[in-house]
Amino acid sequence: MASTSSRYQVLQRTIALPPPGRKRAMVLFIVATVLTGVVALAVGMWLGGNLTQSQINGIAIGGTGGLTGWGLPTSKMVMDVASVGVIGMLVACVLLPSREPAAEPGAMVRRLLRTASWLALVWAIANAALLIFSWSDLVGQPVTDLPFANLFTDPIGAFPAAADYTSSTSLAIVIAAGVAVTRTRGGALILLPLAAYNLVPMALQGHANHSTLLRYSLITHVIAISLWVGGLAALFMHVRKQPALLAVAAPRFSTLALFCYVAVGVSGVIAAWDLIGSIPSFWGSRYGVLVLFKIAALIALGIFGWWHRRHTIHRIRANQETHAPRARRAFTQLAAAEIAIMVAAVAIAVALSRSASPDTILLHSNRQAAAPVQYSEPVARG
Amino acid sequence: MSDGMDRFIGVVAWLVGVAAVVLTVFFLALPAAPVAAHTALEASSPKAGGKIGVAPAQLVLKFTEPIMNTGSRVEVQDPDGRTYQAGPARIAGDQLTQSLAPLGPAGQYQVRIRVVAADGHPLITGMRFTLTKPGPAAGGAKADDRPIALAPVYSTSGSVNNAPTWAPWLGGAFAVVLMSGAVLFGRRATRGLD
Repeated sequence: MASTSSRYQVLQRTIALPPPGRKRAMVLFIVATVLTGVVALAVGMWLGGNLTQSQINGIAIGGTGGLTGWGLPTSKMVMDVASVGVIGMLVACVLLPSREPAAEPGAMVRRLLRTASWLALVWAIANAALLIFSWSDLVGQPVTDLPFANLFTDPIGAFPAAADYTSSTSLAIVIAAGVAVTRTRGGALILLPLAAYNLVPMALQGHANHSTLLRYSLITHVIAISLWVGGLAALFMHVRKQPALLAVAAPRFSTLALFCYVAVGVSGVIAAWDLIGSIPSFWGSRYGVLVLFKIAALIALGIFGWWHRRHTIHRIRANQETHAPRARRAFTQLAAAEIAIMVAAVAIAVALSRSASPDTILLHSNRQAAAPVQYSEPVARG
Repeated sequence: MSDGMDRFIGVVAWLVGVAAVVLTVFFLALPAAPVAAHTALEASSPKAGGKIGVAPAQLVLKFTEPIMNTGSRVEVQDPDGRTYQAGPARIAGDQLTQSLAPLGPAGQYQVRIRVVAADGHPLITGMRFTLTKPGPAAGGAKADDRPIALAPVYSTSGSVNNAPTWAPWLGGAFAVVLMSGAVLFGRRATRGLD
């Protein structure tokens, strides 16, 4: 018994005063997460068939250059991660206790908001970059050849979706400024819906155009993902350093995460099924393979969530000296692994948003039976 | 108080979960065809891979879904590398019409196509047709501009959207590794906490 308590005392000391080993672990974690994201993005783009499309039938036309080819998914990924981070920091502010327990929530709120402000700036910059790369991709010209003056004189003619991108970029800048001048939970509560709303214009680009069901599913998916992944990142980055605050915020987040998990799963399944539509095209298509990776990530994250709910959360809430330090360490380790998987899943999502859905396969295979289409109207001479 | 609250949240979570499953099943049971994301060349005139004796005055391409007015480009190239597209392509819904200059020598013509699907994603593809007699520009018959029938485009090499056969197995194997990793890592991280 005595030995047990002394071991917990040692553990407590290490939490109160992190040795250099902790810092090295954190650096290692950041490097590993970035690497995971980069590798997942590259593999996703490759498996999704997005690297080879310009050479179909040995015929190439409309080269945009490698800069656009890689710049587009990279800027989209950075934008996604930054926006998720902003929303997570704001959510964490709201989850903190309103009345002060042992630790002071005010300092923690300010720390979360400072991170959110920087991330919102990254969000805005990545969004602006995404505008340029998407435009280049759409018109099939290298970034250097784009007629930028037209963006002001004739935005719709130059790039039909320009308004969505510019409004989203502007709102991200407004959020960055708003977060920078906010110091309270109340301010975070006001900015949170604004940030969540700013996910919508970008969620509606691409595949969302195809059906209303898909639009609602994707909006739900993106907002639920941001609350869940971002909230966990915020607890992991900042709140975990104040056990008294984590004791309140972690159980609240756990409940939120459960709801988000269900929402993410349901909206994801509906969206994927709307685009895939049959088991053979799920198993046989590039799109389906990427969806398979995301299902794997979701199930794995569900397992992690189960570990949290089974072992760590109630001990963190009870915050008793005997078990809480060990539970907090488990929480940190599980959260680190979860965040790495989440980043990989976001990377696959970026690749997925660029990939053709398998319907084209069905069309290709059914084509043998298709009758010639009669071109009924007289052809106008140009 | 706190326990009661927890039980309440637990019940709500279960209800939401059940509702989510019901909702998913409901939406999946809707008799809807999968929506088309991205586009493909569905039919063309002249026929892709076909042989024609009289040079066409225009090229007509039909796609599987509407295409955007922005970012489309069509090039028609003769065996000697000269191009014959005249003016910008005209787009109406899922159909693209490209006027052609009088075609030149007999031989295989290569058509390079870039269009942007309604979802903003570009399609880069191509087709070929063979002119069996010299065109108007090489002293042949006048270009044919009668209404024409579109011929379906057959895919010879299968869709580019088909995954390699090993890919789903790789995905499945990855799923198993990831899930067992989650179990093992979780057990290790929470050791001594039950």
